[in-house]
Amino acid sequence: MRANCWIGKRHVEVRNVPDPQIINRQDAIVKITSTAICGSDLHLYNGLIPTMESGDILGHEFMGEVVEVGPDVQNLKKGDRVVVPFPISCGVCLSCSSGLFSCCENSNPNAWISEKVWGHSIAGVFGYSHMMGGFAGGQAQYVRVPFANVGPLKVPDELADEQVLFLSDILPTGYMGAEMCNIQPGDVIAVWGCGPVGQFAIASALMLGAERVIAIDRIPYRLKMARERAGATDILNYEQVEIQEALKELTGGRGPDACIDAMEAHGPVVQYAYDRAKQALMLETDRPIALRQAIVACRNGGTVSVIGVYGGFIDKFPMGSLMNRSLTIRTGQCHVQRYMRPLLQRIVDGEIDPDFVITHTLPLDQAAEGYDMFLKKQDDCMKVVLKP
Amino acid sequence: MNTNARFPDAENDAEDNKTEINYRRIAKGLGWFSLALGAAEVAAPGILAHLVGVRNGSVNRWLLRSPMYGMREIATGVGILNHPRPSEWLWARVAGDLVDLGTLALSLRSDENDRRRLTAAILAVAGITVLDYITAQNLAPTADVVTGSSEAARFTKGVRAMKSVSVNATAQQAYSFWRDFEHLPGFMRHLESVTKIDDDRSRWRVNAFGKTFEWEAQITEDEPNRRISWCSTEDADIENSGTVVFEPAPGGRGTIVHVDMFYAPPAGSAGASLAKVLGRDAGQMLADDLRAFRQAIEVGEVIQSDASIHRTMHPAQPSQESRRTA
Repeated sequence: MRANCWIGKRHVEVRNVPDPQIINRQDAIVKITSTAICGSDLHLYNGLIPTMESGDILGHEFMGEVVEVGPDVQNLKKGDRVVVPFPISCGVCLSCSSGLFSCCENSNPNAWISEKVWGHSIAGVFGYSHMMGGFAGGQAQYVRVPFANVGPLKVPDELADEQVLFLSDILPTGYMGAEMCNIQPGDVIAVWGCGPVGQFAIASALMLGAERVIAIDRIPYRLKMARERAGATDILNYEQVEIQEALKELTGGRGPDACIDAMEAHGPVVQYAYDRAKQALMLETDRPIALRQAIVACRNGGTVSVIGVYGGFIDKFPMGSLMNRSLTIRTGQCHVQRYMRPLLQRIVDGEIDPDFVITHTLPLDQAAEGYDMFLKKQDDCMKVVLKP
Repeated sequence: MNTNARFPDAENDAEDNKTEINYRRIAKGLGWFSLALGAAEVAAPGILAHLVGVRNGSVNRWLLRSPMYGMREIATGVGILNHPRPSEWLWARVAGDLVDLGTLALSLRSDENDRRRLTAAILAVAGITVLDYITAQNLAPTADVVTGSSEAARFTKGVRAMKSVSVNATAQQAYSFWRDFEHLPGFMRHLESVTKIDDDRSRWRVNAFGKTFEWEAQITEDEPNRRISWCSTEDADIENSGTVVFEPAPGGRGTIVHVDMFYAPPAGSAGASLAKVLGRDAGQMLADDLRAFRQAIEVGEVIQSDASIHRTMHPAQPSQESRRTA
């Protein structure tokens, strides 16, 4: 089959590789009909995530048709059309049974590596490094899906791929970002980052009852989409305004009730340069500019919800502001399995139509172009969908 | 469960303070020495080059700062000071000392260097090397003889591994799953086979480090749903014994399985090096096997990825040989 493989930093290539096969009894093989490039794939593309091997198949947002099932799969059969969540979860361990699917204790064969880095391991993830299990991803013609009884969600034929594909990751991720804010009627929510996840966080905050949603980014076309498509009531370009002042101005000096960090590792020039330099010297592994701003901006007693991806260590973390002002910080890789069904219902009911983020559709063979364009934000690129 | 028995280090600490030479204190001193020397090599390589008698050139200054010398000293210093029992870091110091000695000895050949200062430096480093060696030996984990437990008392030198895992099952389920030894190799990677001889005796074959080891194990204690203890019999390739305890987790959240094992490698120098490898890896091997135990009991099998199915590094993509009996 054809599959998009990570070869090295800023180098992906669609290659011929062997077809996947059933390995475990609860496996299914899915023939991919649509797959997308995620913002977090750019971290891999940029070589920021350790434990990648040349030849790793990328991709954790995908859907398609079941073509083979293992002997212990009861919930799916050949021909079912499914969306597959990015975390691989067993459904029965203590984490899964408390709804923390992305923290599954049984699905990462390389758990020992992430235990060394993070103290404890999380679930295996498709196409996202060996530390996350070494599972082949879904930017391919076929993919092997472990624990097929638990993850894949059957979707109605009336809905197009484009309407349901993002149930695999970014729609639930944005939604969980908003849900973690514990939004009360009348709340003001600020969202850092207007990439696809940020767009869905904005839309979700409104669905959950926020009265005003302030979108923050630096790229005009992304801010435009935030206002026109996701429904943000205010937009702020951090390259044009001083964010803390602008937020105080908008909220009468109090600050947003909750702040969502859905930002890629970017920020105003000086801060960006500082963190970029420290990262180059390996003194920190992530660039937490949005997170620092979100904490300082949040109103006393408010919530900071972190859905932007961090891998390791950060510095200049404003702990004093967090502690003294009674803030709550909530975070996590999305527990996709928990949100897929209710969000599918919202799509069916027409409450949200997630396909507005798609700006480009390319054949799988042009994956490398898609990555390059997405990285460089060329041609107002927001979301690339690949068709195998 | 006797808590003291699970935390032998607390007892050993008390004993250490009674011995005349406190190697932990010496190790601390060596750690600070490493840090100071490393800092000097990085901050003032020119002065240091002069002191030991090598030419103060840009290459030598760069070398003194490099991971081979200055940075190495700092790393070992931090390692020693950070670990309660830093024997591995002390062995790293010994290795580093040998590099230094080699470098200094080679420098004697060049006419550009000051041979008198070099000889003095070699003598000084040799002295430190001896001290590092003695300290490392005395802090080595193999010296961590565990006594007091009836099974362990037979071993004069051995390696102890203790790990626990929480499983989402009752103590009775976990006990029965473990007690049926013959099916353990089905998911524990390091076990090749277990054959039952009678109710209390079984034959174990283990594959580790590319070799097969065999022994007969005798159950010495069997309290249903609570604990199983075993001990290898006389002809074992690796003498070993252990206990597994099944403790109901607080709040009814499954069962905590505690394993406490001792290995005593065969006598002789091959055995000693095996002990070293075991000492380092026994804990990790046990942790891997316990994780597999949890997966087997919770989901019925051990989940593999396209990469993990291979024993060596393999990219995350399917391979022709990945098909197994499903």
